[in-house]
Amino acid sequence: MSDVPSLLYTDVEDDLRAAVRSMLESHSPWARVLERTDGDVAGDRKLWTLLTDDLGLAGLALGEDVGGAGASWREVAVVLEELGRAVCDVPYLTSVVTATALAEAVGARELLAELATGAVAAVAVPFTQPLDHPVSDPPRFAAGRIRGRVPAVAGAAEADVLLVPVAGAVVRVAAADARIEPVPSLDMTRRVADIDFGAEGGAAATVLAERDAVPAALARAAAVSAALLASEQLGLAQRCLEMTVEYVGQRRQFGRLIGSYQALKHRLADLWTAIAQARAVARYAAACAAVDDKDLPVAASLAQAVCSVVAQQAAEECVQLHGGIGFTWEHPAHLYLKRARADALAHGTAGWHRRRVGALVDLPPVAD
Amino acid sequence: MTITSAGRVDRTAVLPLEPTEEERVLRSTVSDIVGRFGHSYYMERSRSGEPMRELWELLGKSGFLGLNIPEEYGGGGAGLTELAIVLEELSARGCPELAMVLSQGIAGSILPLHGSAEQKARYLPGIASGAEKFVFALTEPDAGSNSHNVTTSAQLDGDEWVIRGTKYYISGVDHCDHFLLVARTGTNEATGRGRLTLFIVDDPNIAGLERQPIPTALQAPERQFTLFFDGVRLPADAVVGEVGHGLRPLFDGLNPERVLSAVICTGVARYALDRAVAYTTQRQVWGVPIAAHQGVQHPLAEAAIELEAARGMVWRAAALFDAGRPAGEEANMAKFLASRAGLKALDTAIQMHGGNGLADEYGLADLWGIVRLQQIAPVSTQMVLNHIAQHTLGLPRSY
Repeated sequence: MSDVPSLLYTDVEDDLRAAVRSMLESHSPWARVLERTDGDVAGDRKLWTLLTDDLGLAGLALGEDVGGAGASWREVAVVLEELGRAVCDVPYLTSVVTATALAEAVGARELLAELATGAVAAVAVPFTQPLDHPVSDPPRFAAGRIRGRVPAVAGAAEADVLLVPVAGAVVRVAAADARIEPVPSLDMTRRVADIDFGAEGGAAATVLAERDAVPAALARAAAVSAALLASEQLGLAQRCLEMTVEYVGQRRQFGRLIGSYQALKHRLADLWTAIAQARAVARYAAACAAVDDKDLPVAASLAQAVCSVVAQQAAEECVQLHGGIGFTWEHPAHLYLKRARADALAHGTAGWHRRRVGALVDLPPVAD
Repeated sequence: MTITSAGRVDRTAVLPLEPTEEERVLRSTVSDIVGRFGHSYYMERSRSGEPMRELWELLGKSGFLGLNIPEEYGGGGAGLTELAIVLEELSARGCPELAMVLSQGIAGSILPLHGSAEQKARYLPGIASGAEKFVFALTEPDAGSNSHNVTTSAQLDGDEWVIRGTKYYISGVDHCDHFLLVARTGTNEATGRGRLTLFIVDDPNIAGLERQPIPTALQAPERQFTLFFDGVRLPADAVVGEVGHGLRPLFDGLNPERVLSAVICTGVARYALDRAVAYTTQRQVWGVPIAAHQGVQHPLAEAAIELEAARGMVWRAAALFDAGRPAGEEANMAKFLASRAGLKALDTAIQMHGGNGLADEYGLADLWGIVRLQQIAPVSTQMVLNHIAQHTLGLPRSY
């Protein structure tokens, strides 16, 4: 833990945030996000190109040797805060974080170079499933072919490449070789899809890692994903608080600004303190991921245990304190609420992570 | 006032939505009596460890202590509901009386059902008038929530029982005239559980019995004790009910105990909210009474809502018990809700008093112990949840 640097935002991080925010304000206003949720296309391709080509955010955490920017997961976390703030529909978490972390952990340099230029990858594991938690019926791999199905994978419909954990290996499959069927979900700003590699002939697959290397790689990618998801949740929560503070400072009832009532201002003060705690654990998790600190597994699960709850609380308060308007389609609150709800399930629930923290800090397991 | 002479068996499980005229009169009469003493009386006795004797005697003389005792033994022949009303009014005026839970509540419920004719004639009139007080010795260092683990033993020697062992957290022994004792008279070979027997210890100063006070944060006239039994000899007729079946009479005392513990909490909650309303409407900061702020109003309103919800369950449990219906679930729920509502109301009232919340003059913080206690005794909040999970919901036993 002593190796973890200051958790305060650096000047570089502030500049990065400003650049991303400015881009998102111009190209992903919430009205556009809302409009896209009615359409058929998963992922805002135009926005993705701007983020990856213009701002170079795809290879942020990757080394310059594979064409990356040579920054770290900390900077990626700042980008995720901004993406969460704007509930953007881009496969950043799924590709730049989860798939990249797994590609890095298995040493797939060729793939990393593709990812650094903005190619989109997805790990074929259900979005609600922690990567290192075994799935009941994983796809089967033999003789260069993969067969079977994986349900409810986030970022799959947008992906060029699929990384698939199978028994004793992680394999690479071209997305074009699989049948990817988008399914309706609560959060239409991050769609999920069922992947079918076929039962008979299956799809062509190449091995990226085998045997002993697999569990550690999945654990690493799982921890980085959980750690970084917390920053998206933090950004979302922060935005919900800001919108709500702004609203109660304008809306009048009974001849007064409603923000002057203690019942509301105290509630928002409580939310502020909850978000301050969420920021602390999210930043710590990102910093642990950045320097690969040995505390990362605890930090990641702690971040999920806290941020999943706080993001939902913030979104719920946003709906409630906006009164009737917060309940309408014409207000973004519902987008945040749905994202917060889906994020709370992603990569393991808060309860699952609490249990894992218990195991990591040597608390006796629950008797079965 | 007149109290109906209808026995418990004649009562139906009906709960009026509004208090009857009789209940109104009972409440106001008791409240007036307690009001003559006030919370400062309770505080003074908590410090000295002397019982609230004058108040107790006045209530006894007026017939308010024995409301649940059959008339033939000098009681009011009413029920737990009426007894609980008295204790709630005591508590609502800042004088919660734990002795009522033990003496009238437990002993006064068990003896009419399980006592011999001689025991009833000997002890019930004293319980009814308040002239003789019972306490209750069940828990041990290794037998708290799990009564089956009682190790204090009773062995027959000729026609006398010889008691050896230790009892722990026994309340008010220094104020009592007699106490009920649970001891092991054998072991069920099949289950390993103790065969328990209930005894009356007529003389708390009997030879071979030592007591040692346990200092606690509870500020009440009753002190807590460890009891050491070293060859205490009890006559054969000290047994209540059957030898080896002491749990049966014991269980008949549990529901009244829960209901009466609950009304201590609801009564203190009413007291605390009364004090908070009086204080916050009078105390001015920044030119307005602090009660004008939502930050003050809403927590008090929330406490009031939770209090009324808890009271609804309390009176329902008492009515079911008085009608002779199963009341375990409701009595447990009542204790659970009331102990939370009491703690919340008191804590909120303390907070609304600012610095004065801890001052003796305002008479709030000294009640924390007796309300907080009800999260642990007579049954812990967690054991209530276990009970409801298992018996109400049919979930597997978890402990």
